[in-house]
Amino acid sequence: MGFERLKKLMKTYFGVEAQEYPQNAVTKTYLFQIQPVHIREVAKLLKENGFNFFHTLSPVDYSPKGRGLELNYFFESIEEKIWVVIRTELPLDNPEIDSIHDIYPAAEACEREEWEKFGINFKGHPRLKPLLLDDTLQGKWVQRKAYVPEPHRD
Amino acid sequence: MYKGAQIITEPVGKEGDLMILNWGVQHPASGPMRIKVWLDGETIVKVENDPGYVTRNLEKLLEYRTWESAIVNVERICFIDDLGTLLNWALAVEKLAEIEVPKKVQYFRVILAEVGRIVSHLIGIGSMFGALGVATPMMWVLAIREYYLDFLEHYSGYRISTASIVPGGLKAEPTKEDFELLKKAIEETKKRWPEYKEVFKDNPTLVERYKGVGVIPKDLVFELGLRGPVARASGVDYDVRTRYPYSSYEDFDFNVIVKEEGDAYARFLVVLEEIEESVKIIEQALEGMPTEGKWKVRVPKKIKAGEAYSAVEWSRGSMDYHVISDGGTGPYRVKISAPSFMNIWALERIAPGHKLADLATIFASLYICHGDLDR
Amino acid sequence: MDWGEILFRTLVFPGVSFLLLVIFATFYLERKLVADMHGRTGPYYVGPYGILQTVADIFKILQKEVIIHREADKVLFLVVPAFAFLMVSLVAAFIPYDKDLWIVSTPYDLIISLALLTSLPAIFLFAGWVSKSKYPFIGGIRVINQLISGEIPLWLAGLSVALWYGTFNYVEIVEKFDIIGFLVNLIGFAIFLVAILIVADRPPFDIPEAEQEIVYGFLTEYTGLGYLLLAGAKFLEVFVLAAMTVTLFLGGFKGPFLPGWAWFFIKLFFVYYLAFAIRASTPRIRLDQLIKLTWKVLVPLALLNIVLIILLKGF
Repeated sequence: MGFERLKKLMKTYFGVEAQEYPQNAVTKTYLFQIQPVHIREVAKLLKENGFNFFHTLSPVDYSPKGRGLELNYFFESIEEKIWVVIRTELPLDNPEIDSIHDIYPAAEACEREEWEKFGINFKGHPRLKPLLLDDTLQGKWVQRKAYVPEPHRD
Repeated sequence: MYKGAQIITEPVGKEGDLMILNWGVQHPASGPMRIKVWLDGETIVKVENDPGYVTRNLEKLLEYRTWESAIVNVERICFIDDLGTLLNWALAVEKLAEIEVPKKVQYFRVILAEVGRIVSHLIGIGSMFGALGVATPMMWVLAIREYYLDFLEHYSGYRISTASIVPGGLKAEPTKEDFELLKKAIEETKKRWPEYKEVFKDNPTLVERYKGVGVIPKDLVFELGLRGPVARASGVDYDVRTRYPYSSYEDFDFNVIVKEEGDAYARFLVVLEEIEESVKIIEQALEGMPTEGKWKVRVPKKIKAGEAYSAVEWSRGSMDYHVISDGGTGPYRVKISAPSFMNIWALERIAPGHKLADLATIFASLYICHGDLDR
Repeated sequence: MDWGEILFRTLVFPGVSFLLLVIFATFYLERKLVADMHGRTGPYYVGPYGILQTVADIFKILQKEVIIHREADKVLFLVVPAFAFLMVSLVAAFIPYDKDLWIVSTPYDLIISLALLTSLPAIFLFAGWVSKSKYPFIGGIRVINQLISGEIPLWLAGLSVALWYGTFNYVEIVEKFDIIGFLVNLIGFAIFLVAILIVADRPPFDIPEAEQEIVYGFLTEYTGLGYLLLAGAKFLEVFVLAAMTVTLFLGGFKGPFLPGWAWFFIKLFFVYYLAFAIRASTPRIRLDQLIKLTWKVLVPLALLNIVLIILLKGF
């Protein structure tokens, strides 16, 4: 089946094991910890093996804990009812990763949002331009821990 | 510093004789969102979404809240159905803290979530008619909605943004009068709904305007990750309630409405018919309500480090939270993955080729809430 | 008629003052009846039964600042609303409220009314054009599209009445009205009713000012007095067209017991009620659907109706 094949291929191509991810309250989920450079190959592999539904992209800023940015991509296989989390880490200064918008068009808007909020440069993204935030907040990477919101008044 | 470069339409270069129309922000049907439309006469050539006019950046705000006070921000994702988003927050935090709530709390949460769905769907039906310039259905459904709001008001003290579901249980114990008000609302719905449904469903002009308009093929649902009624209208049987049951949804017997056509009319019908299913669920939950157990379980002030991902079927589709705790009194990071944020991008794909008049109907049928689009 | 009476009729009743009253009354009536169909109360607090709500609203609009778009043609922008109002008021001069209650009566009443009404789309297009704004422009184009397709059935249905009674004069048409005439012109009546909804941009044919699509059409850029005059012109247009329907098809002021003008207004109310009920129940249709409806259904039907009337007249 799709997931078994994916597990095997991930092991042979990238040398990563599938880990259980019990933190997902929804259903059975597996986690793959990959290198950022592999994201496009991994995405293609996922798509080939039936993981056709892109849920979300969730970056986390771990800089106060002494780590960089952690990116979590959530995929679902509609037929198998299995979820897969692809996790990768980026350095906080000048984080760069390849865009997967042509493999998963659903990711386009998500990548655009996270570019705007975290300053992650998605290489090859067709329109990395302001989406949700006000012009005054552009370039401040508001979702990073280093940014402290300015109060309205003292 | 506001530069204003976003608002002024750029001079048309090669696209020649196309008119660029800013459909929104100040437009009666757009809501707080700009849709940039390239028009050839009355025909839409290209559409570009420009949301972000009601962004509150709730994800950042949530990092400054405690686990319980976060409900204030969570319920403001979308005020029309705040109960589903609250339920998801409670589920996520309970998953993090590894606690289980009693069955009766789960049942009452189901009731509240379905009340939220009914309230939201009623407004959805009204605004789908509203896009065609007739206000009567909106007034009629608001009259039904009023009964549910009475119930919410009596139960929680607020008509919208009820803050009624908290991590670990419920904010308040439901009383006998609450149940009576809810039963009255159900009765009133069942009394009026058959007649209303007939009027709404078979309205010949509505059928004429909605049928065959804005068809979303099944492939596009997977491609763009569309959720909720929009996905179900295109033949994708994706409902978190039955697919991955949470909060005891497996105990209830109801149908997931799936239509194959994928056009605006199918989306209208899905929303219309889901109201009846929600009424069914509430009735079953009222009947089978367990009596033992407490209404609230203690949730520790500090939750150990870890992460949780949870999803509920919210009125507009699957609402997902990715919550991360670093062992503090509040969330370290919350990612809110909202259905409207995914669904709105279907507009850019399906609107070109339609007439300008269809933009309003397609937009209304996509069932967008600007609150959870911008967050 | 002496000069005094002509002056009275022009300025007071059934002239300018009365027409202003008509705007107030129809606005109030529309709100109240549509609210009733919605299950609401409608205007309630201002004056007894909320009668003065419309007055309050109109004075509110009058207080508004007159904003002229920077690019707009200032003179035309200000003149067009007055011109629209004038043209519709002229049509109202021909309406016979009673046997001898009219301002003008000529042998060509019907022709002149229809010709004056035909000038309106051009004025509305102009209102959209001189605003130099996108939504009004689209609205203006839509007006032309819609009214060209709407006015042909209107003319054909109106003329079929003139054919049957053999006169263009309103008073004579009403005098000659009888039950046979009513039955013969029933098809024409139906066509005329649909056509007046199209010509007057009433829902479900309110395409040129479709709020959810193009904001308010050619009215979008207007504020204050200009808006009031244009909106008033539209209200008067509905009134004039409804009054024409009553005169041509429903026997105008004819009726037993009550005085003529009372019958006229009862019949007028019936036509209005129909328009309001349609507004409250029918969603708006699309422009291409409307054009299909007029050119494929209404125009052939109207032509057939004329043939039928000629045949009936021959026998």
